[in-house]
Amino acid sequence: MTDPIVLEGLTKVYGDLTAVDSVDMRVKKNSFTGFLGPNGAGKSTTLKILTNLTKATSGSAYLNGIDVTKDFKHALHNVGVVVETPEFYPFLTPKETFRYIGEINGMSKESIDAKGQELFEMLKMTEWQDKRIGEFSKGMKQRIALGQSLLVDPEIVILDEPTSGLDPRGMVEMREILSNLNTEGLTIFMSSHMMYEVSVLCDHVAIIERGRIIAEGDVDELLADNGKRRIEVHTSKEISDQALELITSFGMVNNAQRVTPYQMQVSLAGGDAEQAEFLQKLIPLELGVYNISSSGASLEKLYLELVQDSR
Amino acid sequence: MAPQLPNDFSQALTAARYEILKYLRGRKLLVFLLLTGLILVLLTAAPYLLGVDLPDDPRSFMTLYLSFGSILVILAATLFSADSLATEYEHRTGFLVFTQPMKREALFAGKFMASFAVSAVMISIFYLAVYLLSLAITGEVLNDGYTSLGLALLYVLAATGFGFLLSAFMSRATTAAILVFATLLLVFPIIDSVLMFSSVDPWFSITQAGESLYYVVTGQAGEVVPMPGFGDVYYSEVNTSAAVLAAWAALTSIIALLKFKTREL
Repeated sequence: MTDPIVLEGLTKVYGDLTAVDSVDMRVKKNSFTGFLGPNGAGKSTTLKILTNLTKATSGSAYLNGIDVTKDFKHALHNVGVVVETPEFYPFLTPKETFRYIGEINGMSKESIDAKGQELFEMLKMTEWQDKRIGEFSKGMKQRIALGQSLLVDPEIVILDEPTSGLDPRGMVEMREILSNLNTEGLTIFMSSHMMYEVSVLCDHVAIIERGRIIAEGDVDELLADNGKRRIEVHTSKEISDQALELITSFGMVNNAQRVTPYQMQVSLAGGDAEQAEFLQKLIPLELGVYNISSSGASLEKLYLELVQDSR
Repeated sequence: MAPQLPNDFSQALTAARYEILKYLRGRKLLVFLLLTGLILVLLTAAPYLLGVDLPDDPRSFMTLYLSFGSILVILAATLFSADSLATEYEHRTGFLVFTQPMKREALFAGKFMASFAVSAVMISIFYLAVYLLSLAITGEVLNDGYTSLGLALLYVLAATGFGFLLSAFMSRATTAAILVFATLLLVFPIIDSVLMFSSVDPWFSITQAGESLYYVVTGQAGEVVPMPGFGDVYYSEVNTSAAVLAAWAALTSIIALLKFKTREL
C-alpha cells in the first residue's frame, strides 16, 4: 500500500530562488508528522504545492496515490486542508459555510448537517453556527477552518500552524482535538513553529532548510540517533555526586546533569529499549524516583543543531 | 467512505448559488435598485413638475429613458463583476476555496454565471419598468425596444467579462471596481470620440458597440453623420455591435480565466 503523502523530486523555483529543492519525502499512514523549518525554508511552499495553491516547477506530490501536480481535483478529494488562517465569506454562517464546502465535495445536505453538528460540538462552536462569520475572532475562524477540513471525513489532514492565533486555552483544546483525531486513524501532516507542540503531538518529523529535507523520521529514533533523547528524573532523596557519577557511567547515558538537588536531566543514547534498561538500573539506586518525563527541549535542541549544521 | 465528487458543472452551479447569495445579502443590489428607481422617478416626474409633457410617441419616449441604459450596464459591471475574483486574494478567502477539490475553471464559471445573472436581472428590471411606462403613457412598446434589451444583455455579458479581466489582475477589489467604472465610462468613450474626430469608425470598441442599445431606439444605428471640421459620427450597425460585444465577452473572459487559473495566493 502506498504512503498517503509522497513527494518525489519536488522542486519550486521563483526566478533565481529555489524555494523547494528536489524534495523526496514520505508520510506514513496514520502518522502525525510535524513539518519543521525556519522562515523561508520552503515549508509553506511545499504545503502550497500539496494543496494546489501554487504549481511545482518539477517533480511530483502524491496524495493517496494521485499526483496533485497532474490531477489536483481527485488528489484533494478526501483530504482536509487548513493553510494559514483562511478567511471565510462574511455573508455566510459557519453552518452555511459547511454546506458550501460539503456540496462542492459531493455531500448530501443531510450528511453535511449531521457531520456539521458533530463538528460544532467538538469545536465548541454550536452556539455560533448560525451567526455570520464576519465578526468572528481569529481563534473562532481557526476552529471553523479545522471543522471544514474534517467535514468530508478525510483520510489525510494538512495543517499549517493550526494553533496560530489561539489563546492558551484554545491552543490546549486544539491540541487535544488534533491528538484525538490522530488516534482515530487520520494521517496528519502539520507545519508548526512551536517545538513544544510538535514534541507533544507528532510521532514523526521532517525538517526542511533551504528547500531541502535535512532530517526525517520517527521522533524518538531521530532523537536517539542524534543523542538527543532526554528525560527528566524527579527524586524524593537528594541526588549525590556519587549517584550522579554512577548514572553517568551507565552505557546508554550520554550525559547526566543535576538541575536541582532532587531533579536531574539525563541524555540517553538509543531508543525505547535503552530507556527501559536505564530505568531498570536507576531504581536499585534508591533515590526515591517518583516522576520521569520526556524533555520537550530535546526536539528543539535537535532542530536547532540540524538547522545550524546545514548552514 | 468519501462521497463521490460532483462534476465541474455541478460545482460551478454550487459556486454560482452562493455567489448570488452574497449579492442578495449585500447592499449592492439595493444600491443598484435605488439608483434605477431614482432614474425612472426623475425622468417620469420631472417633466410633470416642470409643466412639460412626456413624449407621446414610443420612439421618443424610449429614447429618453434608454439613454441611461449603457450607464446602468457599466454600473452593474462595476458592482457585480469587478470584485468577484480580486476579493478571493484580497480577503484571503482563496485559502478556503482554492484548496477544495474544485477546478478554478469551475469556480470562475460559477462566479461569472452569478455576476452575469444578477446584472442581467437588474437591467431587465429597468427595461421592464420602461416598457410598462411606455405602455401606460404612449399605449405601446417600440419593437426596437426589445432589440435594445437584447443588445443590453450582450453588453452586460461583455462588461462582465471586462470586469472579470480587471478583477483577475488586481489585488484589491476597490481598485478593480474604480478601474472598470472609469474605463467604461470615460477612457473608452474618449478614445471612441478621438477616433471619430479622425474619421475612424470605432466599431470594434466595447463602449461604441454598447451604445447601440440606445442608437437602435433612436433609429440611427448604422448611420454615419459627417461633422464638418470634426470628422464623422458613427452609429454602429446592430449586427456588428452584437458580434463585437460577443467577441469582447469571449476574449476578456478567456484572458481573465487564464490569469485566474495561474495566479497564486
